[in-house]
Amino acid sequence: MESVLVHLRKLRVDLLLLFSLLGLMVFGATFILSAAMDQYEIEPLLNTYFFRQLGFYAVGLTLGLFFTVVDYHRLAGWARMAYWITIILLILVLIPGIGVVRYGAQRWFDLGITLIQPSEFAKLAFIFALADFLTRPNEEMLMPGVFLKALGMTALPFLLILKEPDLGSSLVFFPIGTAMMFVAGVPLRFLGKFLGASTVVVLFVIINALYFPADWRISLQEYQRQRLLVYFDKDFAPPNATPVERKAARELQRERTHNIRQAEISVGSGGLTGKGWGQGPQTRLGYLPRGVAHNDFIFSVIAEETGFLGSIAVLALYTIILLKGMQIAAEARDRLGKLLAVGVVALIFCHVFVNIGMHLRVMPVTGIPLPLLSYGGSSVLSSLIAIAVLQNVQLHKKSY
Amino acid sequence: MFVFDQLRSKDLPIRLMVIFILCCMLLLVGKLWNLQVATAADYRSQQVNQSVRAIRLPATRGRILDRNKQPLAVNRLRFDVHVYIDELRPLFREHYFRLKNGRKLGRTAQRKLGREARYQVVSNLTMQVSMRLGQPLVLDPERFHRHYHQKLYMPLAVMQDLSPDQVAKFVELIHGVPGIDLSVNPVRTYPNGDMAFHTLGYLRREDKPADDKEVPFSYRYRLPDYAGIDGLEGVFDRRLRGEAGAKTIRVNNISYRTSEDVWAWPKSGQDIELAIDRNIQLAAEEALKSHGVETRGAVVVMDPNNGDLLALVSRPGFDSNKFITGFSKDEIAQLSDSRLNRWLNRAAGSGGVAYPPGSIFKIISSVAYLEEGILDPADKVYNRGFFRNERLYPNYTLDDTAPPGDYDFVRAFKRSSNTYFIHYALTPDDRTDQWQQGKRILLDWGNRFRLGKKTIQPWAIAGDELPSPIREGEGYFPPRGNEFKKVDQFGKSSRWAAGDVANLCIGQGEIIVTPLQMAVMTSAVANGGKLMQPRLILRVNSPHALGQAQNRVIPSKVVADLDLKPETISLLHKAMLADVDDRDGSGRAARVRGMSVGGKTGTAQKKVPTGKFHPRTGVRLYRTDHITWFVSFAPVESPRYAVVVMVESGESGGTTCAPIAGRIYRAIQEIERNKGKGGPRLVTR
Repeated sequence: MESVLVHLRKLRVDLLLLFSLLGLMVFGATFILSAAMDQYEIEPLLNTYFFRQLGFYAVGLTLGLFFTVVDYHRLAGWARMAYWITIILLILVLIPGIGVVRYGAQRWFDLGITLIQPSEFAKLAFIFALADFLTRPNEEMLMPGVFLKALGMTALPFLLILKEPDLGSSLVFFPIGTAMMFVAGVPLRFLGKFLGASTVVVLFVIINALYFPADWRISLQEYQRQRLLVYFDKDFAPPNATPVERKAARELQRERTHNIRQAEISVGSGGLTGKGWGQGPQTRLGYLPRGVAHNDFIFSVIAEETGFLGSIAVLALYTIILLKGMQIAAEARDRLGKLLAVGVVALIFCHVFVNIGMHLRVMPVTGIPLPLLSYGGSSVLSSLIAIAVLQNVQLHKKSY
Repeated sequence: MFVFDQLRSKDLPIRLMVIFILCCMLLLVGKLWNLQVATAADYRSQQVNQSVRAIRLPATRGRILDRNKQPLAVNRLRFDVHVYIDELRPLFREHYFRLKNGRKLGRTAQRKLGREARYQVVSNLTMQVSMRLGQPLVLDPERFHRHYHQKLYMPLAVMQDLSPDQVAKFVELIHGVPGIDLSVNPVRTYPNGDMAFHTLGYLRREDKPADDKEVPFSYRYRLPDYAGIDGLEGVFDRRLRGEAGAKTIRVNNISYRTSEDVWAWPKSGQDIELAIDRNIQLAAEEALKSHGVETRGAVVVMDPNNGDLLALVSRPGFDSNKFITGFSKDEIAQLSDSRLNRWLNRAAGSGGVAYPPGSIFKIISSVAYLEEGILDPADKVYNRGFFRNERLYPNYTLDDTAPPGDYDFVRAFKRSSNTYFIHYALTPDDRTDQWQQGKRILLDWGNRFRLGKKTIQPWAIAGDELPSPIREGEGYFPPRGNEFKKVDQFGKSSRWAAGDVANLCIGQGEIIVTPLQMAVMTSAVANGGKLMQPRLILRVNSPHALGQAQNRVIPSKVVADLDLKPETISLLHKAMLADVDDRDGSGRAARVRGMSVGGKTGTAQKKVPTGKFHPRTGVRLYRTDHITWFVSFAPVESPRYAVVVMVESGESGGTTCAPIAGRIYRAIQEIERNKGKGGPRLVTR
């Protein structure tokens, strides 16, 4: 053991980062097992979420090793190509027959053994491509053309993913892009204008969805509008609805609110210390829907069974990774490394905040997974690669 | 530490980002604290609410037994076949995929198919089970789906009340089949059918009780429970019913039962032991029925020494069991027959029903005259075949059923001569008008016998309020010093006159009584002048303290001692014995070999509206109906039984009621003989 640590130290692998990572993976595997315990009785062992997740971790760590060891400058050389490949994949996934439809959205390729979600990898490719693009002299940062180009690079995958539809994942591109541009030194007046305009658009979309009559609504998907209604706690029935419509709307509202209500009850009823592993009635009795307990709502399971203390532990592990990432960004030897690190931190932060925020009704419901904890190959792989890139930047900061 | 290093970073954007991230994380921590610590209890109760169902478990009802612990109202076991739907889930799945057969289906089609699959599985199971039990049944789909949606966590009863034969078959053929089981529940049963219907009362299924405050939260589901409505079941409902228990069922998101937890076992109700002797009661009912199945009448058999009600019969009655098993159309018609009026407790006068006593009141008249010293039993009074005193009461004549002749007390009593008794009420000295004195004496003694009052008062024993076990009427008797007569059926109220006193002394006019009151009166004459409180309940037993201090014995109670002279008593005994024993006695039909019975007959006239009106004046028309009585006690030398028989629309006391009393005494003789032999005793619960 001692020697392994020495070797790791020699490799200049950051142990704090590594152990946080392992800690999160232990949490993930343990509670995916708890969330889908019934699976043991009906599915072959290797087919359970638990074992598949372990497999994803293994593959992810292997890929991560590659992304740690190969100098990020070399990796950045492939950035542009990777970006366009993912764009092509995002287009392909939209073509019926190639992309697979699940839960009413066309987001996946079916690889036989597992589904793969290109948007997860698009985020990584985007971080690399934008970091590569923004690695230019400070003077160029002042040019509006560069800013607009960067904005375009952000908007392209955003629009494609929006089309799937996956509003949550697509919106993540903007904070990542903004954070990277901000750190890269894009003038605040550009960013300010951009942020102001986006705020206006977002507000308009929300107000439009909540208050405008049906004929006046812009093309937001109906389920997205309903999620907004749930988030803002608005009545589904329009004010001039007939009693029959009102009743139907109530019914629909109950159905749409069900997941988030149950998630909230799970988290709240966990209390200070939780109900113990595998003991949460919300999960056990299926109130927390089985379809989402192991992926998007895994935090509910953890919060219910480990309580406030466990939830805080999870948040602490994420905070360590995020701050470590910021430290790596600050100590990076060049702008490319810094921007990569900032991009990765922004990516992980967005996922963590949106997903956990959704459980606590800070954010509306979206299909954004919790990095490393949620079940899902694409998410696990892309998260591990992202953190590997952080390690990479740190590892290679003194290699000149 | 590295956290603070970042906050001091010279790179402004990095520093800002770190601050932003930390703020957001703190926001999440704060929100988590709020949910999981500050308001955790709220969410926990929401979680319990949605996953736990409370079920009320009714307690086993206490038994009602007779004085020999023979069952009057007990509980039998009812066997139902229950389907535990949660255990059938694998079968639902299997059947669903079989029906689906690899097809691709939309969401609504899937739901519909799932519904169909569930119904088919349960329906098939029901069919198989019921076929094997020899009673093929088709499960109503509506009923199944309703059960599935509303109380999935409860088992579904597919067959109810199996016969013993079917229970045996079930155990042999079906026991162990998953998802199906026998459920055993106690159900009230009255082994003697309609016997003592009015005394025992009946139950009614109770779905929403008035007081649901037994537990701190409301029940999602109540197992069927019954409330006592009338009779003992009604009056002692709280004691008989015991305390309901409760269990909680934990259910999953679609209401399938996952576990159960009984947190309060029900406590059985208390047993009540009555003074009633089932055999005497049965004999009395049979005796009354011998006069006709639709006889409207009552019998009271009382022990004059302690007031024990050995039988309390009112007919026609109704089978209390039907209130649990349900009525046929015919039975509903029976219950709503206003002529027979099965609801009335004619023995106790529930609902205000009471009857003119007629000549049996002559017992009280005799006591009054004898105690006041205005009657010498040896004096003779001449009876012309009717009462008339042209000088004093020119407008008053009353027929006498006794033949003309000279009457002394015993002869007048046993032939029930009206002339003789009216003579002492109006003109005891044969010359002057003394009806005011007669009225005073009669009202005084009627009130001493507590006529016009309930015979049983609610009383407290050891601080425990004991209500009267009988819903009793009080009849009517004018209070002492009464000036105006009771408002009559024409709405007129007039002053007393001599004719009213004459009527009263032979039990007509201003008086109506209940058979129970007459039993108390007869007992008082029999026992030497003590008015006993009728005792229906001997003990109230707590089921958990077998034979221990919690069993409450109800003592017998003397309400009043009339302080009668021994001569009065012995004379009355002699006269009543003569009424039955002598060849010319009016109650001769009650004679029993081997037992000396003393009695008095009565035939009262009662005006009954015919429902028609006079064609010209529009006045309501009445016809005369006879209320026939026989009051008696035996053996005369040491009385143990007082028997009162009353029949509505009878012929006369001597021909209608005396034979009924005779049958009852003969049955009692038989029962006493058997008791000496020590017959087998059956105790069932």
